[in-house]
Amino acid sequence: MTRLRRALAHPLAIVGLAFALLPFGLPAIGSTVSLATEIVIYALYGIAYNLLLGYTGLVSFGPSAYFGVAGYAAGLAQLYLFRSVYPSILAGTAAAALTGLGIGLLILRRRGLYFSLLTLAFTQLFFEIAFHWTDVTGGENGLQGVTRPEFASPLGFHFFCAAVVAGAVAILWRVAHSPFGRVLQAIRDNEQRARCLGYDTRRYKLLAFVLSSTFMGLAGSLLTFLIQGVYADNLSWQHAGDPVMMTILGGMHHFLGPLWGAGLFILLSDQLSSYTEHWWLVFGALLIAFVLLSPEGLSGIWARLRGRPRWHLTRAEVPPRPVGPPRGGDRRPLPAGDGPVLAVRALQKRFGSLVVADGVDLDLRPGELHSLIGPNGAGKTTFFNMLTGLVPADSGQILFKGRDIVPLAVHDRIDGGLARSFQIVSVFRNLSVFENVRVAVQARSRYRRSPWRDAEALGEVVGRAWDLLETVGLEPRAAEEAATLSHGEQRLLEIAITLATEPEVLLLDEPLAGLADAERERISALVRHLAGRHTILLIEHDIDRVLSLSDRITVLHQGRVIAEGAPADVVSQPQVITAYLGRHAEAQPAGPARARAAPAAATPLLRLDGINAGYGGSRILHDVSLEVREGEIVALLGRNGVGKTTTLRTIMGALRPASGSIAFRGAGLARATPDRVNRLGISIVPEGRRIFPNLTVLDNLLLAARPGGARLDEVVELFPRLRQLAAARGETLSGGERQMLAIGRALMAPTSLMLLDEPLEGLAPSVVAEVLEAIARLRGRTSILIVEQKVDLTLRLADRAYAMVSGRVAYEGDAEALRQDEGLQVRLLGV
Amino acid sequence: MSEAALLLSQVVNGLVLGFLYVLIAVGLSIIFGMLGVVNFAHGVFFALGAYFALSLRPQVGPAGVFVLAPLLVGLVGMAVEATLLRPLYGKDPLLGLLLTFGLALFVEELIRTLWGTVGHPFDPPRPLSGFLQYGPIFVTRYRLAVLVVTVLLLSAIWLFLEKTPYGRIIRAGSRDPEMTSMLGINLPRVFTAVFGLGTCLAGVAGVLAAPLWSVVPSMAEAAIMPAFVVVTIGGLGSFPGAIISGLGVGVAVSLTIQFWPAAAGAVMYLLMAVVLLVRPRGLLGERWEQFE
Repeated sequence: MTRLRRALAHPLAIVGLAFALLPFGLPAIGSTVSLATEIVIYALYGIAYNLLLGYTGLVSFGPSAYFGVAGYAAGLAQLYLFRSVYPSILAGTAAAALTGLGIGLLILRRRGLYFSLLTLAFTQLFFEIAFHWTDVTGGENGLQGVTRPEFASPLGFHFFCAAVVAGAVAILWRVAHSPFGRVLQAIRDNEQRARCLGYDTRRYKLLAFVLSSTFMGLAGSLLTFLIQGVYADNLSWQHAGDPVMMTILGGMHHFLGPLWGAGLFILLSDQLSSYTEHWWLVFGALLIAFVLLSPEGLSGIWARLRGRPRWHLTRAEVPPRPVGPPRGGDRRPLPAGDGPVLAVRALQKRFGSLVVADGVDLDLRPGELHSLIGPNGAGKTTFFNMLTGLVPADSGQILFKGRDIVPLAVHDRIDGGLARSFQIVSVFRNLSVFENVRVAVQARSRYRRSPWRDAEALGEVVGRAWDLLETVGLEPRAAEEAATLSHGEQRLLEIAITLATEPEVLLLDEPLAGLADAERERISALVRHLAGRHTILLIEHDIDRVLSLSDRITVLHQGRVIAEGAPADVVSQPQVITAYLGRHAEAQPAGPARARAAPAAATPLLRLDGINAGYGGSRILHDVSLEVREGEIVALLGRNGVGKTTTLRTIMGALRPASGSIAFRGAGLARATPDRVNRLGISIVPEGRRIFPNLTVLDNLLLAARPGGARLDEVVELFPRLRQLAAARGETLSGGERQMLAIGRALMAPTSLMLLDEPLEGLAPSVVAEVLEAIARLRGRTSILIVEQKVDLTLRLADRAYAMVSGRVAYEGDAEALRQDEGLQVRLLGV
Repeated sequence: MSEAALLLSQVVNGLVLGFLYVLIAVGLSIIFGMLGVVNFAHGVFFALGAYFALSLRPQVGPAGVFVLAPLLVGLVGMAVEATLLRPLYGKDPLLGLLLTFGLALFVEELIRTLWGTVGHPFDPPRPLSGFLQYGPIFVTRYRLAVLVVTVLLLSAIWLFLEKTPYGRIIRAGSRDPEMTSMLGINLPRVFTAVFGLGTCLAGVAGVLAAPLWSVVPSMAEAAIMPAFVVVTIGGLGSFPGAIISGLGVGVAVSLTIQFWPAAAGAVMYLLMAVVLLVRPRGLLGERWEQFE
């Protein structure tokens, strides 16, 4: 019995049943057979449109262009070329396909809103042509007198349409499950990742666009024969919204959603129009209600009622693991010989005045685990981006297996065996865990472009996907949506996807970031396991693990390689320690002297107690407690990724803590919004300064000004350079000038506590001195909590210091004491 | 009239049309920039301006409706933002788009229900009727008045955006809403006010356009499509871009109406397609991630 139920639940069975019953059901409620046929036709229109929207994520405002063009072509063909219905329909469909190809080639290189607006432009253009080219299209009156000699009776025509549309729907169902169709969903979820897997996404999008237009054209041709005429009306911009509305009402993330939407729309308008001519009031309100209450449409409501709120764009089950020996053998062997598998020579890159790569040389030997470390802003991720081609280098060579890959596009480099994982987890959120890996493995299959085969019948691909899931330990979660995974599990998935491309060289970008200890251990073990069989280049900040895992280490600082070699050697080199602790050889050893009178028993101004916080599934802060007292300067130190910025953002209200309390002057802050926090007297000078590039310096300052804050002349006294920059737009300022502006801006509102997030980052030494001095002068005016990487300078300035390690406070005490204890510093903050 | 005189007069008409387009487009652009919402309902706010003016004119006279009607439209806009749009912030931008689309359908039908489907003529105020002649150029007094008023209004808007604290907030909030809120500014309230401002501008344009286009439910579409075109050609988020492209489109459309009427509707879409294909961010558009 269950087999029968499952067979009946198959979309095609539902379609067949619905189409067969409609022409009998509708007349029973006072409608006509023709209306049933209209539902059939619009169902195809919607399902074809949804191939772009729900599957590929392309928001087109212009489906009616293809619907209308096909309608006219079919009508004209029937009137002047063929008397018969069949070739006319073919002519209409072909016209739509060609139009789709033409427009697609023109506009698909644009993205997002620009793409959507272009589709709108073309639809309107076609409407105007149809409305005014009276000789050909009949203008306002349209084409009349189209006949369908083969189908005199409405019922006969209905079954013809039902058969054609059912066939088309079957084809679209098959396409959705094909390798091609699967890639479309990957593109929707994360196009950049799909490209980094080796897919040429533009071609996929173009084919989707053409397929969608073709089937929408088929629907349009059928409509011509239903109403036996063609009218420009269908091309107007309001009717362009018809398939959109039907798809949303029915559910854009369900294959048959548009069918239910079409049924609802057409039936309801038919029934309502006999009561009132203002039935659009109902539909407008209905659309608004659905958007607010059930964006997944009717299908979403149905799915929620059944307790299974998941999308149903493809069949739900995950294919079973094929029996047989593991398919590890098709992995590429490590190259022989002892030349470097990846050699970088003299790589240069600058963004404006910021130099991120300054003559970088690097050699990666086959089979080694090589780590790339360095303080924040050293240019490591940009380096990876240049290796994979996401960012072009200004000059230099990248030799991969002897070939210069600089001229190659991203997907070609991937094809060649270079793969990377991303620092910010970059998976396909709405696909199942299994499908995430499968679609990645599929990128190497020769069937990856097929719109016809069943993707899950590609045994090799499926088998390898299961093997990879086993390698990273995610087998038990295979059928779940990637979005439901914990942060650590998503990292594992991330690595599995990267492995799927059979890379010889694996670029892993901070795979441990944001993870708790247990998960770090799991991933480190995985990396160790992979190290023997792949060549790995690793960026990480968890120095202890880096030291234990790596064969060799390269240290990058301000775009330059400052050390390279075995872990033990590199770690002890003085220039490395200096870079990490922020001591500059040429820096002023006497920073602003601390005015020694920090009141020991001053009242607490800010108190954090047991704060736990994180983003999404990841936990960054663990039981963080700290205090800033009235009149103090407190330093918050730690290596990259330990949670310093997260702490500041939590205080500021930009991030809500999961547990714990924040008190400012005794009052609780935990649920306050950032604007309220600021009005209570806490200002932030954030990482990256975040001045407004489109406002002048003066406007930046005035924006923040409130009664009780600093006056303009006070700020200018602190930072004289701002006076002559008053009329300059923010985007023209240098890093140092922006920093001064950001601090000045924070002072313009009454501030009792200023949060400074890495104010000295990226600044030249002379500017560092200037900024530090200004901060020192703020003592007495406001209390300060300063996050910094330049340890020595900061500790000279501060009264007390906290040091964080892996999201916890690991040290609390007198700043000078920490400054004198170099060993302690190295343990907490250095290499 | 000689060819040249005809041409010149049409250019002047085109400028008038253009400035109206700019007025509508600026409201749309401000809403884009600040709220990230593609306001498909902008056209119906334009229409509401005209219809409110129509209904209120017997009571308060033409000067009165010029102030009252747009204010009412702005109030409606603020109510819409606070109740319907606010729940959607932070979600898929497609949802905001669909909501305004549904709103456009609803309100246009509401207009039909309350005021009927037939067009209503709307006479310009008595002192502004009749023609003026400047050399070879003929122009109606009313059109000239519209020209003057829109230029004044646009200057006022520019001053508002560039020189006032509130304008500062809008410009900053369009680039970095989070930082703006960290400077103590209550963003939800700003969003509501900005939506109100944008729709109010559409309402003003509607009142001004009423004598030119006659008050019909379909005037909503006649406003929204050119607004999209102008904003896209000029560049999303650019005030000077909107002015240049608005005037350009206005003149192009007016000239086409005179010399090749059948193509008048199509010409602005052709322009839009060509500009976007050559300069993907429009003439003066900036690179904002939210649009790409």
